[in-house]
Amino acid sequence: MNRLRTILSATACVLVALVCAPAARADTATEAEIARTFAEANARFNEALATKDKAAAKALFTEAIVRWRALAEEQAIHNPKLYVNIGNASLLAGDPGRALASFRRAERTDPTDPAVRAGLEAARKQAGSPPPVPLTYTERVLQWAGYLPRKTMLASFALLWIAGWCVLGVRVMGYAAPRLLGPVLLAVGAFVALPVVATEVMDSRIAHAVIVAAKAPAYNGPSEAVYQPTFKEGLPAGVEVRMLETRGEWTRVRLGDGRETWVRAVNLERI
Amino acid sequence: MNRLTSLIAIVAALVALASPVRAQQISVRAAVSSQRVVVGDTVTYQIIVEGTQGANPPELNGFDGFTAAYNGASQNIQVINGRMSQTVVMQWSLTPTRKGRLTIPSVTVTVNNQSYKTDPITVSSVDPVESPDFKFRLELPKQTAYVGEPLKARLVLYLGKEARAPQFSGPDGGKAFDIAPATEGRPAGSRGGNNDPVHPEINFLGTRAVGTLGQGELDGAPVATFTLDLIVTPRKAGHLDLGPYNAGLQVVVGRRSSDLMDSPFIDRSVTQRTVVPSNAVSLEVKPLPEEGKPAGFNGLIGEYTVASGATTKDVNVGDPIPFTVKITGPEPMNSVSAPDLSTIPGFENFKPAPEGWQNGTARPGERTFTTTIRPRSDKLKEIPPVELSFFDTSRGEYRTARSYAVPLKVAPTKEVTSADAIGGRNGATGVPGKEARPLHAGPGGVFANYESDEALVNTRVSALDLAGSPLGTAALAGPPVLCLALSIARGRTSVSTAAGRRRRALAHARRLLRRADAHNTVGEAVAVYVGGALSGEPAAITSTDARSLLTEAGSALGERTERLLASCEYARFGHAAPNLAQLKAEAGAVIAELHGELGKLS
Repeated sequence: MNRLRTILSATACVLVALVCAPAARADTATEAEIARTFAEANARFNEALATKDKAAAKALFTEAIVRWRALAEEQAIHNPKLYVNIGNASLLAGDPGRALASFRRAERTDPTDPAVRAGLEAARKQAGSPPPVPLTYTERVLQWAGYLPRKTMLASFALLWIAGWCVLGVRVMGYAAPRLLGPVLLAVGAFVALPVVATEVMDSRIAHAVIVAAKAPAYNGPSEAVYQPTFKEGLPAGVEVRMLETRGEWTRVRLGDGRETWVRAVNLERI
Repeated sequence: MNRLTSLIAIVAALVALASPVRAQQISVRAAVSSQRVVVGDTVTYQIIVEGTQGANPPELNGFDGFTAAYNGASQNIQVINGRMSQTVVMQWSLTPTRKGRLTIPSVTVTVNNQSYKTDPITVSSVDPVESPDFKFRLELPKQTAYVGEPLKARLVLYLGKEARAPQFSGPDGGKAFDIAPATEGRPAGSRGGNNDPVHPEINFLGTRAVGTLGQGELDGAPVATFTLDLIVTPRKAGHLDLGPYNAGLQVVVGRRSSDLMDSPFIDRSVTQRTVVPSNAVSLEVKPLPEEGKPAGFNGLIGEYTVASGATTKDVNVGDPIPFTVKITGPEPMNSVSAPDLSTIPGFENFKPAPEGWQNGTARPGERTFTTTIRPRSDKLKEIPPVELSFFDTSRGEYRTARSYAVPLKVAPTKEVTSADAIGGRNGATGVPGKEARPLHAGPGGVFANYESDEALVNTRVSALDLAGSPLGTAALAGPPVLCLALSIARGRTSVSTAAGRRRRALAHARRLLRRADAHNTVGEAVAVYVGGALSGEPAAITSTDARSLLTEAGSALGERTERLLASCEYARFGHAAPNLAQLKAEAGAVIAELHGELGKLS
């Protein structure tokens, strides 16, 4: 019995140490700094809406965008509302490419938000309504997972996972418990977590991007000195593409109509 | 079952613990292409992130002495000897704006929600020097101007040698003046792009501009020229120094010999970087006079005209009239906006469209705005003239341009009320016999911004990130590890306990009983349980021994067990035996009752 206590105590200590391990702390700003930056961005945006000088308004929209992007990227605040703000400001500043990229980011986080859908539609309209990139078979299969509340799914998985192992532990201790209950709970947990994890893995592997330059030159290969232009004119801002390959400064992309071309990576914004 | 549980626990713990190890291999560093650079030229600045592919480029704003332009990022993955290395290289062009020792400060890069800082880098920035082969001139048509007056300026680059890819840099004016490429430039029909033979596109202070290639003279010799027309708009009164601007060039200094493997289309020119400075020009900027400033003046400088028109001139009260205003004036016309009809006399008799003005065509020197107005009365005979106030620099005074009034014929009709536009449910207005018009969806557009703190909550939940966090690792690994520990602990301790012995003896006896096809095997199963539970040798236990052992242990089932074992022994030696199925049932019952009784006695 003493040995049992020793082993259980040691296991508990290891788990507590894992939870309390000093994780590498991010160099994050204080809440006050974040709130101030957000307030400044909102003020710039409202000032831009009020001004009649278009050049000044554009500069103010850009200042607001810089601040919101700093919050999203440097402070790792991934919130569809923040992306909607960036998309709106980019759209009003006449930058449909970056607006579209921002709305697409918001759509990935919350595809049900009407502001996201309206912004996406407006950005596509301003960009000339180029055809969006069709989804792959896997993306279509997993599309429904985007509409599920991720927190609920992951919390359900955590509960099922812990409950399953508790049942197995009870049986190990020699107490009566249904033989298949533990494995069934674990299997249901895995089924619940699978679409969430699969969507994340797929998002990290299949890169979508948007053309952000006004007329991005597109060539048949990764050099403008050697290869002929793929199209008579450059790709307009707002064209949605799928990134297929990167070589140095060039990226091979597939357009919505299935054609492929090479563009400079600097002219793309990955979603 | 215990072994299976242990195996699952070990695998789950290893999988859960594997993720944090990868995050520790990330490193971030910065590098520049050259430690010495000419003012106005560019130096390439790279941030190299090793160990991940998920780095986002930081915003490089506010570098003292530099302007920064992001060029993009390249990603590289290598697998050598089964070990994978990932690198992201983000690249910027930095342009020094002054000479001296300039420091590129430490930059914070966020990778996987962690922040990393690069080391600061010092770069020496020196002034460009004049070259006999090149000349760069800034020309301004006048030396005095008013605040806000757009002036046409021109940069001319004289090329005494073959040179490529001109890049222009210099002061953007800050709060003193605005400088931007002139909008008119390339004639219709030219090819466009960087390689246009006459009007190539270049980058001027971050804006695409169209230059013109031509001919000129440099020290009496005919040379090629590159001309760029600009618009300079002073923003404050006083003395203004414009320039110098710098032109960075790739000067062709030779050609590389061809190689058999070379494509015939490859440019084999050998080039050398050169930066040519322009002259600076002075400008005296006068403030706009306060005297005579009209109430509706909104900062237009130059000479403007305004015209208005309506496509429908025979309407009823409340009918929409498409109304167009065309303003002509000098470029840039960025500050030209549609007139505020509420301030113009006579327009109070018209109801303006709630969505306001829409931008129409925008030709060089011309802006068109359209809207819809609705007459409120049938007494109206015309749409009043539109007024536009501006400061005429040639006369040095404020003037007001007026369009002509547009004749209008308005017939009386019902009064326009909100009920005409917005009805109740199912089209009912509440007025008998009067049906409301249905509401139709508008043209769409963006929704209002979010200003509440809800926008600052990180809503992204990543299963993979959670699994890599200490809490996630504990949640994933904890239950299986705990189960594994219990399994090990139970396995060891139960060897020495009576309960463990009884449990194993019960399992063994039941296995034997299930497979029993003869009377002696049934007896063997009972003996195995009794021997195992009470530390006896099962093979040596007779019916009498079993009774003795059980009685010693305090069991009341000794006699019944003895009878059962005796029956089995009789059958074994050929005596009359009971039915095998009945015997197995009795043995099963005795074993179960014994297990329960011995458990209570212990």
